[in-house]
Amino acid sequence: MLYILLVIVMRLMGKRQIGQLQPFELVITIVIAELAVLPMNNLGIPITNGVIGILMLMAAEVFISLLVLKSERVRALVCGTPTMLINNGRLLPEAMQRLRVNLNDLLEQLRSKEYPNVSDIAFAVLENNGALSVIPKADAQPPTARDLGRTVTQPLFPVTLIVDGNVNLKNLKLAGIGVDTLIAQARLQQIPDIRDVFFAQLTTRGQIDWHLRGEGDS
Amino acid sequence: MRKWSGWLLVLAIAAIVTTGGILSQRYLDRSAYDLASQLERVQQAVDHRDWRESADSFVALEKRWNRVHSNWALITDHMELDNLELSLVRLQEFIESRDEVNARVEAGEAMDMIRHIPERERLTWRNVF
Repeated sequence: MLYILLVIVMRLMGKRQIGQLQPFELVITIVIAELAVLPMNNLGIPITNGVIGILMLMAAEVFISLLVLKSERVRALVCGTPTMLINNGRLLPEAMQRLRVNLNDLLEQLRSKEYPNVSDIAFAVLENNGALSVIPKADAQPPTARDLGRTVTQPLFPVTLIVDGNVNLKNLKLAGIGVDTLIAQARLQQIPDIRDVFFAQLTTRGQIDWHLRGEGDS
Repeated sequence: MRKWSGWLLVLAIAAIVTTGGILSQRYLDRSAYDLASQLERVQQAVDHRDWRESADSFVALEKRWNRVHSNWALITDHMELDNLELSLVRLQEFIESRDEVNARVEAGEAMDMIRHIPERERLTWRNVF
């Protein structure tokens, strides 16, 4: 029962992953886990004690996240503000000291983002969730299609059409493709029965990508 | 409606928990008072060494206890309930064996436990800190 409640509560609390949690969300997640364990571990504690605690914490989390959404001041107070660690290629030692980030940690994170030279970086910002965002200088950025003056077609949203032989009718409708068209497309690929398809996807280029059962097994 | 769903969720949980808390505390107070009154009758009969009346009053007490026991288990520490249950079993034995001193002591202890349970669940500064 507590497990089901926890799944529902975590679902209602949002979609963010553990590494992307804001400090108040992390605290609430840890306390909720602890509250769920108490009645399981100690049979003398009624389950309602755990349930009420979990529900109240969920309400607190939803309440704070709504306040954070509405007010910039509350957001700064609860979540903190991002801090710049590199400004125009220059390290900011005071900010690093304040955040207790040492130079090795910073260089490690920069290397993992494939920027070995500090001088290549225009701005590096330590975000509220602990991730480092890096904006390289214009001459250190890989060229884009715009830089090269090339015209490119915008990607479409990729849609999964068939999984394990089952056609997803909802996605098919979303992609604007009829079942007859799908079958006709399959026949063009020498696929007589759609149930033989393990996975089919409408790609960002607007083509259907077909993967048959047992295709890669051999 | 979807815009307000977050606020509504918070309000609904707060309302349910607050109302549930008030109602459960009221129930605890009322049922503890009821049990304590019945236990007082047992104590008076023991004081007067009226063993027949003590046994009859204890049967009535036991009936009331059986009624509230399962409800109390939903909201209060099971260890406290086990202690109270054991105390009542001992009290019954002392009444049956007409042991006045021990019956008085046990009834006093059971009375203290009955009064302590609603106090333990009450939202007070002492309980919070």
